[in-house]
Amino acid sequence: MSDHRPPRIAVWLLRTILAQPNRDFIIDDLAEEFRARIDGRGIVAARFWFWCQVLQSVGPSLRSRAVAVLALFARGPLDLLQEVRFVFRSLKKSAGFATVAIITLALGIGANTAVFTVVNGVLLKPLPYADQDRLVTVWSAMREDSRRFLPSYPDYQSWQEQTTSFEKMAFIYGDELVLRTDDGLEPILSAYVSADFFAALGARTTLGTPFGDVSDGAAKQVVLKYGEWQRRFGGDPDIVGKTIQFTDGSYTVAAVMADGVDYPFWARMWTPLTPAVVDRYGLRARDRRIDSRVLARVRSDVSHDVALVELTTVASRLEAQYPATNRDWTVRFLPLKTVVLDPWGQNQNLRRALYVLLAAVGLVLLIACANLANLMLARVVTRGREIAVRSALGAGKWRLIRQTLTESLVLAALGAVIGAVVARWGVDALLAGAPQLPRVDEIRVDAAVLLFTTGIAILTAILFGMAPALRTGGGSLVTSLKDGGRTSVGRLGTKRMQMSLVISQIGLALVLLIGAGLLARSLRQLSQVNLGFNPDQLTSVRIRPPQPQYADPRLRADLYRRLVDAVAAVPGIESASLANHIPGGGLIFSPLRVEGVAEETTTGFKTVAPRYFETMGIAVVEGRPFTAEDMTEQTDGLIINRSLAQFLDIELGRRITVFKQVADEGLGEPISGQVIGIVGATRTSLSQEVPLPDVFVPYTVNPWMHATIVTRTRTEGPGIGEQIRDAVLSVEPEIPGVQPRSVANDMYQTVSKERFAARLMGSFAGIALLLSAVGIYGVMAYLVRQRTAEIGLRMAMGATSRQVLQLVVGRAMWMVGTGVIVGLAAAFGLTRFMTAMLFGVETMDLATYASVTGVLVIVALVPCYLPANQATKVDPLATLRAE
Amino acid sequence: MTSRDGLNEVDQLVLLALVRLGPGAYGVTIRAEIEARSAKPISMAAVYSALDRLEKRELAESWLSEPKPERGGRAKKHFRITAAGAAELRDARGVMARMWEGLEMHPDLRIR
Repeated sequence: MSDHRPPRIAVWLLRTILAQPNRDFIIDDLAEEFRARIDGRGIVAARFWFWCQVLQSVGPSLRSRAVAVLALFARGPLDLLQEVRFVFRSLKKSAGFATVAIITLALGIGANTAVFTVVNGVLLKPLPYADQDRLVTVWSAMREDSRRFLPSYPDYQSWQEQTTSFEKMAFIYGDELVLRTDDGLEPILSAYVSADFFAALGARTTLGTPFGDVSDGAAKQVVLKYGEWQRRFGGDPDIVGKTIQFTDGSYTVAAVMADGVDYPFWARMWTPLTPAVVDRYGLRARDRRIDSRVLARVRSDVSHDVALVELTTVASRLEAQYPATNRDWTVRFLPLKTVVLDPWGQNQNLRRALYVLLAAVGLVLLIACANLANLMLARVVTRGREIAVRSALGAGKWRLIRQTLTESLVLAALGAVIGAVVARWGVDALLAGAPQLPRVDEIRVDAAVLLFTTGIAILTAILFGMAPALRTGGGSLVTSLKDGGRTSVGRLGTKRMQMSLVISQIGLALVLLIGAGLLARSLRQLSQVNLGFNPDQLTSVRIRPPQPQYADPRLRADLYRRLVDAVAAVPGIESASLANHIPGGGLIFSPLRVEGVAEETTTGFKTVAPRYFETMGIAVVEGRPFTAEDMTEQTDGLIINRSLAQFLDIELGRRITVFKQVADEGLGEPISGQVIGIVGATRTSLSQEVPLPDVFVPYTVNPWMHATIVTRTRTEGPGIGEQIRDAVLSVEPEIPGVQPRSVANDMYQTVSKERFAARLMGSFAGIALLLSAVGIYGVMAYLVRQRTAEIGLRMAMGATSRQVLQLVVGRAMWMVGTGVIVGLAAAFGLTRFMTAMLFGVETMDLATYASVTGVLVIVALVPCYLPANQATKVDPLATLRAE
Repeated sequence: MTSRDGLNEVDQLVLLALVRLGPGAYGVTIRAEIEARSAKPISMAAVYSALDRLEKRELAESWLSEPKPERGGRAKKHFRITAAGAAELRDARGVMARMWEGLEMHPDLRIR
C-alpha cells in the first residue's frame, strides 16, 4: 500500500538536501524504521516521526549549503542590499517624510487587504466541496413567477426516480431539536437530510464517518458542524460515539464535518431523514412545500442545461399526473454557490456591493498614491543637487531611477508589513460592524490574501514611484549644479505633474464622496419608511410549546392564553398579545377565496390574539379589532389589511375564505367568515417595497405550533426581558429557548447591510477627503514658497495683499474646479454600479451631487488659505534682497 | 588520518553502540540503541555524519549486506569498530576517568 511509503515530499527533501555519501542508506534506513513504526504506533505517529527526522537532518545540511548558494547568487542581492541600505540611510535623514509615507501606505494597503479578505472569503474562494460547480439546488417554481419555492418531498422523490442527469439528489428538511443543557432547554436548528446528502455534497470530514442510508432504528445520530463542535464541545477529539441529550432522546455523534462545510447555513448539525421523520412532519403531501431544500450533484458528463431540461420534463409529467397539487408548478435550478451567497433570494446585490466597496477602498489607495507621489516629487526636487552631484560623479541615469524606485519599493514593503497587521485588525472591525455575511467563517487572511497584499504593494510602489523616478533621471545636470538646486524647483514639468496629481485626487475623492452621499441618503430614506406599526418599546418572544405534551391544539391554545395573561400581568407592560408571525418574524401563505371574485389568490395568513393591533400599534382603519369573545374554535369574523382590501376591493361584511395551515390538525380545511375589520398594512422589513396582503384569524381557530408573544412596555427599562422570561417560564418551565428581543432592534437589523455599506463608504470618503486636503496643502504651500520672489516683486510694485490672495487662491480654485469636473464625470459613469444598493434614491440624484461638491470645495479651500495667507505676509524687501 | 584528534560525544556514543550491537550494527539499530540507552533523541543524519567521520579516521569500518527484498532489493550498510577505534574509545574513557578522579563525592556535584 502506498500508505506504507514515507511521505514523498519528505523523501524528496532529503534526497535534495543531504550531501553525504551515505544519503541513500539514510533514506533506506529511515524508511525501514518508518514501516516498523506504522505497525507499532500507527501511520500518523510514523509520519510525524519521519518529518521530524527530515527536519533535523535538513537543518545542519542547509546551513553548510547556504554559504555556497549565497556565494553563487551574492552579486545581485548584494547590489540590491547595498541599494536598500542606502535607501534606509537616506530615509533616516528624512524621518518625517518616511513616517508619513509608511503610515499612509500601511493604512491604504491595510484597508485594501481587509476588504479583499472579506471579498475573498465570501465570493472568491471555492466552496469546500468536491467539484463544487456540479452542485445545484433544485427549487419548485410557478410559471411566470421569478420567485423560488421550496420543493415537496414527493416531488423530490419523483425527480430523483425519473431523472438520469444527476449523480445524487438529496432532500433536506429543517426543524429544531431541543437540547438539554445545564442552563435549561436550548433549541438547535437541525437539518434532516436524506441518505445521499453527504455523498452528494462531497465534503471532507474532520472526525468520524457521516451517516448514509439509515433505518428508523438508527435515526438518533447527528453529524456536527465544525463550529458547533468547537464552540459547544471544545473541539473534543473523542466526540465521535458520544451521545447528546435532546428532549426526544439521546443522539450519538457520528461525525464532525470539516471547517467551512456549512450547507444549509441555518442548521447547526445534520440528522438522518428516516421514513418515520417524513411521516412525523407530514411530508408525504405533494403540496407541502415548506422548510425544505433539494441538493443535487449533476453528473460530470451532463451539462446543467441538459439536466434542467430533463428535470423540467419530469415536472410537466407530474403536472399532468397530479393536477390538484402540481398545476402550474415547474422547477428551477440554482448553483449551490449562488444559494450559499444568497440563501433567501433577497441578497442578489451582495456580490455587487462587496465589489463596489473593494473598488472604493482601491480609490482611497490611489489617492494615497497621489499624495505620496507628490511628496516624492518634492523630495526629488529638494535633492536635486545631491542627485546632480552623484550624476556628475558618474552614476548612470538608470541607476538614479533604480534608486528612487527602490526607495518607493522599500516604503511600500514596510507599509505592506504594517498593513498586514492593520488588515487583521481591520477584518475584525469590519466583521464586528458588518451584517450577517454568508461564509463568514471562511473569512481569514490566507495565501491568496497575502499574494494580493504583495501585489498591491508592488503596484503601489510603481504608481507613486514612477513619476518621481523618471523625474530623477531626466534632470538637466548643468542647471541643477549651477544654481545649487534652487531654481530647478520651478521646473515646469514637475509643477504640472504635481498639479495633475492633485486634480486627479480631487476627482477621485469626489467620486467616493458622491457614493457615500448616495448611500447615506438611501439609508435616510429607509429610516423614514412607514412600517405600519410602531417597533419602539415593543418586545417579542418566540414560544415553542414542548412536544408531545402540547400536541393537542386545544391545549396549545389554552397555553397561549395563559402565557399572554401572565406576561400582561408583568408590571410596566402596557399590553400583550400573540401572533403566529409578527412582521419580520417569518410568514406563511394561504389560498384566499373572496365572495364575488372568481379567481383564487394567495394571502399572508396570521393567527392573532385580542389586542394584537393595539399592542403592535397597527391602525384599525374600518370596523373593529378582535375581542376576547372572538377567540373560539369556529369564527365568523375575519380581519384583513388595507393592502388586501385595496387590491381586491373588499369592503366590510364581505365573506372570505382562507385555509388552515397547521399540519397536524386539518391542513387545508376552510376558515370562512365576514370581514369585520380592516387594518393598516405592515412591512416586514424597512427595505420592503410593497406591504403584503394579510388575513387575520383568531389564534384559537388554528393554534400554531409556535407563537410569538408581543408586549408593549411603558418604558424601555432594563430587566423587562428577564421579567417576561420569568413570566413565561412560570406558566410552563419546559418551553425551550425563551429569549425576549427588542423588535425595534430586529427591524434596525434589516437595514444593517445598508447601514454598513453607508458607514464604510462614508469613512472611505472621509479618508479620501482628508488625504486630498493634505495633498492640496502640500502643493499650494510649495507653489507659494516657490513664487515667493515673484510675489515679493509684485508687492514691491504695489500689489495689495488682496490681489496676492486672489492670485494664489485663483490658482487653487482652478485645480479644484478641474478636479470637480473630472470627478463629476467619473461619478456619472461609476455610480450606476450602485443602483442595486440604493433605496428611493436615483444614482443621478442632483441634490446629493450638489451638496457633496459643495462640501468638497469648502474643504479644499481650507488648505489653500494657509499658504495664501502666508504669501500676503511676504516681505518685499527681504525677497528682493535674496534675489 | 590517524587518531589523536579525540572523540566528541556523538562519536563515542556511536562507537559504543557498534560494540554493543556487534554484527547487527547498521543505521536503524545504532540510532535505536543510542536513543534507548541515552534517552536522548538523535537524528539519522547525525548518526551517519558521525559514522562518516569515524570511517574516514579508520576508527570504524563498513561492509554491505546481501541485497534485502524488504528494502527494495538494496543492501544495508553495516558498521563495526576497528582496533584503532577501540583504542581511541578506551583513551577517551581514560581521559574522562582521570578527570572524574576523586570528584564523585565533591559537594559541588551533589544531586540536589
